[in-house]
Amino acid sequence: MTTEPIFDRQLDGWIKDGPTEAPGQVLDGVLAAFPSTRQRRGALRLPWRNSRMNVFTRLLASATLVAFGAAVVVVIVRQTPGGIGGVGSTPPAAATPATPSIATAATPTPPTTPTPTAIESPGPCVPADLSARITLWEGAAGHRIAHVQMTNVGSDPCVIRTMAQPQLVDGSGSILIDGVPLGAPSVAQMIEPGAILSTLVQDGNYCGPVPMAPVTVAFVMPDGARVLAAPASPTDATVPPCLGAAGSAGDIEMHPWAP
Amino acid sequence: MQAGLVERAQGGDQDAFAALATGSVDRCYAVAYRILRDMHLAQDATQSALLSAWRDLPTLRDPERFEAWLYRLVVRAAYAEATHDRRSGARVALIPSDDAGLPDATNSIADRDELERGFRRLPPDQRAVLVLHHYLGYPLTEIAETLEIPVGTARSRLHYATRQLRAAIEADARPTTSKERTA
Repeated sequence: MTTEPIFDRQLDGWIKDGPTEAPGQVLDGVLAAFPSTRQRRGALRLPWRNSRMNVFTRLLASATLVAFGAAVVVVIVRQTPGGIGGVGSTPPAAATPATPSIATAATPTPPTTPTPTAIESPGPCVPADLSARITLWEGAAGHRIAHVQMTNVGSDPCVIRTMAQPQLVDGSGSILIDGVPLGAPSVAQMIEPGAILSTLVQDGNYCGPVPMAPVTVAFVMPDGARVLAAPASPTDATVPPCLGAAGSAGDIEMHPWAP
Repeated sequence: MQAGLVERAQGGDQDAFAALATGSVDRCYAVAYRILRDMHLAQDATQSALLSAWRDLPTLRDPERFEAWLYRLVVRAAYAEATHDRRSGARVALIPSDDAGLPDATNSIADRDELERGFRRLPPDQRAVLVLHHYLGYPLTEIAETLEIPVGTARSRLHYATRQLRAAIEADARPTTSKERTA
């Protein structure tokens, strides 16, 4: 019988054992991706805990909010010909600021409070901007592992998801092994022009007909776009050995794209 | 110091957030790994949590609570990874795991194996409570606040998870009966 203190010590020791440092690519991925992610902004920053405010403060805050709301409504009604929804109330599109705010909607003067910094967001990568190629095939127990590199050959940075649905395809374009479609979207990874991301694709149990060379891998992105990697060589017909029954399904999986 | 960085990052200061992420990534990964017991899932969960932190930082009301808030995001990301992993089945495991258990004074290899197996059978919400309690040393009130659950729920999750793990160890240590021997 394991006594409680001994068991707690065992559990403590077991849980505390293990890695305490993240691999470098984790931070690299975050630092590359977060600048292209827009921050979520709340309209109003209310006090953290309303219960900490006394009754008088709460009444005062409520009255201020009501008065502010009423003032905004009055200003909008006065400035709109024919009242709310009146004809010609919409300003020309060119005069509309990129970041609308209550202040700019209510008065033509610039807002006195700073608006959130607009972060330039690179768009998603399109297949035309990406060039993938297999640099090496490795053998493993019953599996084949492709080392794949992807380069942003476009002129602008773009963002890809680190996971895609991998496929093993042959020279005729037939899909020899199809990966599992993605579930939840994976982490976004920004890729600068000329930058290279790498991944490993592992496949196993190919029990189909002899494939036409060259065999390569493709990646179906979450948006449905497809990137076909250049094969390791024009005559390469690398497929994993058949370990199951004839015609049984193969398997193929990938590591996340990483710098 | 950290609260100042948090406030700057809340205002959109990317350098401040980069400093926060650099200072937090190891702790986030350590917690995610201990919940998920998988290096790749833990890496994904850590990245996902830190990107969520940047996106949602302006909604954090108390900068002093950044660390607990970040752990909450890590736990949520770990839940999502655990759920996704269950749907998609086995993952590629090409990189040797660095968690091969080395024998130490208190844990036998057999006990560690049993703990590993027992832990993997626990649902993610119970794993999270165990990790917050035994790895971060959080008391129940802190666990409850971090996970946004009642203290009673945190207590019952911890109790049930501990009981399951203890049962796994004891089942292994129990002498084999004559019936089991002849089976």
